[in-house]
Amino acid sequence: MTAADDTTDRSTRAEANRSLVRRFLEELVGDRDPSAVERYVAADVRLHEQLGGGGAPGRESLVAGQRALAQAVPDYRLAIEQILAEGDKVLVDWTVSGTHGGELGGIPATYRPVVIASMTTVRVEADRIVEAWQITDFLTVLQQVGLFGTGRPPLPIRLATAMRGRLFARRLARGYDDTPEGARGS
Amino acid sequence: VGVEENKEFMRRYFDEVWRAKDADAVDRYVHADVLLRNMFSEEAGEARGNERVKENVRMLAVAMPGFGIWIHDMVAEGDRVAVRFTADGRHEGDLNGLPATHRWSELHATTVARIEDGKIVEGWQVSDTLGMLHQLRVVPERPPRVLRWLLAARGRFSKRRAPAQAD
Repeated sequence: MTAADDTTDRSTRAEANRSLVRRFLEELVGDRDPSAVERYVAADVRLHEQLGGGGAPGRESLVAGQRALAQAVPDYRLAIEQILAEGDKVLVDWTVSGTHGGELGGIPATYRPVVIASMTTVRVEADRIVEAWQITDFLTVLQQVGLFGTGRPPLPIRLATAMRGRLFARRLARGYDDTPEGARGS
Repeated sequence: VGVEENKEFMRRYFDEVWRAKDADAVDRYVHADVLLRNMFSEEAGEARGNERVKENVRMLAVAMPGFGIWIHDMVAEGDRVAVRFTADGRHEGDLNGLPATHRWSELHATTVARIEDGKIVEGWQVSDTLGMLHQLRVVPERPPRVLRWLLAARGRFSKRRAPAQAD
């Protein structure tokens, strides 16, 4: 195979992967069709970051995530903002928007409009999603439902935080360490 | 310019601006009139100009003087590069008005940059800032019961006022 053939092959595969990930998101999230996971997701899919919490196996946890969204924002609409594909990876920048009409992360319905933004990176192997990473901006959602302001935290919170911070600094000085195992930062 | 050059450009941008905490290096990578979507703004929305980027580099240098930034993955196509990364460190100074908690935390985020003539001209970012606030123990993982009651009461009130929108 020549280098040119290899490049063509890579871009054809990227194109197929992009279309697969788009169909998956449109069917599972857009059409609210849980059976999409069986068509597009490998049974042993590995989920990372904000995906795969709760200990359920991959496919079930994706379905549970969609169900939680439908409960929290029953009238939600899906919008795919941009979708990049390269090699075996696809990046989707997407939002769902609607009315907060049910419990959302412990917060009862406020009936306010919300926009939930996510970026999802997906790895595709043999026409199946085998791995995914997802970041969702829940802080902005809490601001939209009125749980948080958007500027500086209020004075009582700042004072309490400063006091707790000084107490914690003393614990650190006595040798306590909250740096997780394997952390790379300082 | 190919996608490999753009990925290399983003690696240098992360190194020379963020890892080095060098606000003066921002001009070399980010266009003065960059359009920032969902990024560094007080609320989700748009902001224009690389001054915002510089302010954030300076703020982070004070808030988390030892922070590290780690690229895990990139997906590039055309003039765009997506970067999945974490930033971690100890919160030792004012962070957007929040006093030092002295706790260690890790921020997960994915950013997409559009590059034109060797500068970032447009950027999108989604960050798990709430996860970071959980680690700093500023925000509880579940809202306290009294707050849930208040929100539920207010929600019932809003629903009565706008039944057409709510149902």
